[in-house]
Amino acid sequence: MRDTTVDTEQTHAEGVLDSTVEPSSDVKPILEVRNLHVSYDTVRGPIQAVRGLSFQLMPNEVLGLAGESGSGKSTLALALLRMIKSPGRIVEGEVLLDGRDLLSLSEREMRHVRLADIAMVAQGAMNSLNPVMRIRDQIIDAWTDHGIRYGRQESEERVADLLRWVGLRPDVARLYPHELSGGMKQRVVIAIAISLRPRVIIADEPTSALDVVVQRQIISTLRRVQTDLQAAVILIGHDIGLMAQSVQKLGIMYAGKVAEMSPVYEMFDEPMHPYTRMLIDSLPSPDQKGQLRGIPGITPSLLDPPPGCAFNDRCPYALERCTTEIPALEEKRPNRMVACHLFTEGQ
Amino acid sequence: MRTNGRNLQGLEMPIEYVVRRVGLFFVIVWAAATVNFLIPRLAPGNPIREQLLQQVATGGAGATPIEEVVQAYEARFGLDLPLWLQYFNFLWDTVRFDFGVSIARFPTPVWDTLTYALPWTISLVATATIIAFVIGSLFGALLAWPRTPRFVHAVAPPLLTMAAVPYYLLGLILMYVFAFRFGWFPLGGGHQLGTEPSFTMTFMLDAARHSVLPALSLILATLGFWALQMRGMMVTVQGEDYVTLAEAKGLRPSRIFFRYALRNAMLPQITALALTLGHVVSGAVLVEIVYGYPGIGTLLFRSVQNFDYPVIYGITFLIIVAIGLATLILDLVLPFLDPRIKYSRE
Repeated sequence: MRDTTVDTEQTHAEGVLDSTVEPSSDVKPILEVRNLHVSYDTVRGPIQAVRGLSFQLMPNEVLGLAGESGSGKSTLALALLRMIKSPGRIVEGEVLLDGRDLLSLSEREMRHVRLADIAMVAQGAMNSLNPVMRIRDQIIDAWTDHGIRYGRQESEERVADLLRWVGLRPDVARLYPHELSGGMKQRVVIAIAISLRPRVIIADEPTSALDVVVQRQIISTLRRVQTDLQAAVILIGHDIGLMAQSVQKLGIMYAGKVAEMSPVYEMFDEPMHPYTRMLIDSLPSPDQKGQLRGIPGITPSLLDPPPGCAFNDRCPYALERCTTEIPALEEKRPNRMVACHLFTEGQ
Repeated sequence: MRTNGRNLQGLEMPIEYVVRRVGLFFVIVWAAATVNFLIPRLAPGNPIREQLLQQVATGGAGATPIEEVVQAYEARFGLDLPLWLQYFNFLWDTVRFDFGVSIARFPTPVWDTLTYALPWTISLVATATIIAFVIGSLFGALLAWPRTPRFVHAVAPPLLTMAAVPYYLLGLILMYVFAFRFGWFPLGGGHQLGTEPSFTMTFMLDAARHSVLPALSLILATLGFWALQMRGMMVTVQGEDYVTLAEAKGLRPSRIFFRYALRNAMLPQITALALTLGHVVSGAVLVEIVYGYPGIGTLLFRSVQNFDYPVIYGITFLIIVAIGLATLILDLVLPFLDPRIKYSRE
């Protein structure tokens, strides 16, 4: 379906010609974020919600991004789709989709990237669908605005196929959102997201407001369509327990930056960044019933972030240079990106 | 594709609901008519004596003693009967739309005074209301839309100021400027003196020319209300997740504006419009009086001045029926506009 639009073909072409990706690796990242800064302007000055974020997303990879409230997760999701609303703005950085910088596109071009190339499964399953439109119409209007028109019969069939794909009965198509359960609504949202076969799916807390059983179902549906589509997924959330079971690589965000990004098993076996370590330690486990451990202290103000590492005042291992020098996110061990002065490269 | 507002398949209206809702309409009309019958009878003053005393004051009284005349007329209007009998007579007459004859303009039947004034009022007030609703709502929606060009925002303060001015005052100002100073429009009335209402082109154009200023004062005065209410709703709706998702779907901005944001923000507006239209038949009393417009508003004002019970009844009954009808239509139509509204109680 996607290949019928002109834009996406251009994307492929530009991606092939692009030479910014390291020649050494044979697999090029589908999405690359470089030094992204997003601020919200307030009367007291800009709040730096995302401060120099960089990461790469490989084709077919499932990347988790976890962090507490205010760590910049949702801002990042909106920034990747260039949907930051005033008073927020993308201050600087690059978002490269197949080598094409999305931040330099016109608004018109960007509109065609949304859904066709990067789709979003939004937060808030209860309210993500227009209450006065039938499910069918909310699926079809996206195609129409991406320049795809089917006959009546074919549209119906494609809608039915999509709904079956995410595990819904085809007759859901003629229902209104309020006639569906929360889990069904989130499946519809997934169906919309995959309808143009995007290469990247951003799922921003796709399971919030759903009960635990339905959460698992939604995540497994998401994983299934991801495998079918061979799409890359960014799964955003704060439930690192749920994350650990559903992603390959996990990024831990803290105060608008990535603290650590590692393959998920290695991270849980041996967390490197002190924040990651304390976060994993704070997970409740059946062995230590009744004991909940938190991380002492509070997150720093993003209005006036500290000059050094944002975590230094809560970190038990903080060094002198942690208060003055921002640690860069570097590959301290093979495949393990950590932003911490405690580790020296390659050791 | 099909829009749900027009696509009615799968939304069947249970006949039982319609019957119950129409029945409710008649109950409302009956109850309101009864209250309407009782209230004026609790007020002091005798309409006939009042009328005669006025004539005495202006020197028009005859030689007959006033009390005898009062009794004669009371018998003529049935005011000497016991209250319950008056009530049943009243109900029977109401059903036949027979509101008796006007006391002040004896012996013109009330029905005739109403049917003369009604078209004037409906054409003026309903048109003005709908124009104000459409422009005001669209304008309010644009004010809350981030992509709206700047010049739209510049129009906002004067319009909203205008909304704060009472419309009769606005009427006087418009009349002074455009009718008195510039002479572009007639000073008042519904049509040129000496012409008889008819459906000829000349008369219609003349009537339209006479209604421009009163309509303009109504529109300007109510525009702000619709705009402000709509702007508030649009701000709320834009924070909804479905508008965010609509943008993430890469929809055209115009579709997001109309089908996602405006469509949902409109729902409370529609309710307000229906109720406002129900009130249309009561006329815009002050504007009609300022412009000497021959509508229901002027009629109502004169009737109250003259204790003209039958005409007041007639107008009040008209208002009751109109509001009852407006809410009936609203209840039958709203489920098609907002699928979350159920027909039946569960």
